[in-house]
Amino acid sequence: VSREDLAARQAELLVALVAGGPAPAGIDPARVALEADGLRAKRRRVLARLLPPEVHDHLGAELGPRLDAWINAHPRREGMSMHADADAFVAALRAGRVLPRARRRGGVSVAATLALNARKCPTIIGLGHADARGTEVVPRASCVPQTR
Amino acid sequence: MTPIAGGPRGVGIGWRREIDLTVERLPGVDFVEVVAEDLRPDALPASLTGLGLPVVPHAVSLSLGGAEPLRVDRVEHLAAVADALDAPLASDHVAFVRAGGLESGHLLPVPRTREALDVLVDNVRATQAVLGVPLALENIAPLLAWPGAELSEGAFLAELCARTGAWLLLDVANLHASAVNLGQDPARVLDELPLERVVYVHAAGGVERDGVYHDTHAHALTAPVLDLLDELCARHWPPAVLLERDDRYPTDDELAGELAALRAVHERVRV
Repeated sequence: VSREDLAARQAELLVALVAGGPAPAGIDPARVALEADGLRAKRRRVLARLLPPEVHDHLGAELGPRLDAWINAHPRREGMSMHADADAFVAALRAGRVLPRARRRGGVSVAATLALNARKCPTIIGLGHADARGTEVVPRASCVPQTR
Repeated sequence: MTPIAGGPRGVGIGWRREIDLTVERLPGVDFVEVVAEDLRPDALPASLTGLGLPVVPHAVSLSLGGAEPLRVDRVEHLAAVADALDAPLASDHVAFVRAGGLESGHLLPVPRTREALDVLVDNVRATQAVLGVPLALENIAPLLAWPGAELSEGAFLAELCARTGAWLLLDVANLHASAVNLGQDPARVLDELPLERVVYVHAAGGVERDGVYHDTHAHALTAPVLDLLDELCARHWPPAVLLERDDRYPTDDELAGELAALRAVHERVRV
């Protein structure tokens, strides 16, 4: 029973951190908010790094708010790699006609670029969770050091 | 002397693909550590294996403090990477990273209760049963604390080591984070930890903002962190210390300077 109780409390904290739930009783809400901010910033940074340059080019200053909206609406499910997260984000933009469908640029599709970034940036793909520390750094488009 | 046969000695740096050429060129690197989830055991990067240095695989996703069933596939991946690297040991954190079907993407603290300790002991033992090498456990940099702590951090880690035979990867920057963020006395943690079980030490840069220390691995080493390393070395000399840098990489000269600073502290009180 106690292990189940702990599992429930850990799940409650995770919901508070990544899915907009209330801070669990007994944990400083200000610190929960701070941790949640850090997790969002990290995911935003990693996603931005994984996105192909053409997505950055196309969205420009709109990318940040789009990423924030994506992150807030789609907590990362267990087993979902950051690569899959980036893929789903691009697919959602295409479905919403925010990005043109199946656009090619310089002979390289977005899917191919994502795959290429995946090979270059295994840290953020890996088993779906590397890159586990924290910093707030401006995202870059290319596959350069931007881990936590 | 090092408590683990073939274990790391001297000064090391976290190997990252982004700085692989830098690591190759840096003087005075005795060993490296690599994030295990970054590697495929059947496709190790030549720029890593070609170094000819001891490599410690460092996992971030086992969620050893998680109350949900251990993901054995992740442990098996770590074991395979350790085997492929011919590593002397492997490490992960005293933390959880998933619960209730969600991934945090970040190391989260566990409550320091008997119940959470039992969970950790079970998960660590299950991990050790799969790993072919010794396991070292790292203290994390917490931003928040659970209510109802029954043990201090030092006592919690000491009992975890005693019950599992696990080794310690002591992160002095994280010790500093616990001091600033949770008001914990780092000297007391050092008093309570079984320092003879420390197989290597992590040091990293960070930044303090509004009274909160952020363990960024993206800033320069700070004086309090070097002071804690000094304090640790004076109490019980650890065989190795490793610099973690994950972002905003400085020039090669600056990295070399940080390694030299770590070496100076590490060797100052060598016994």
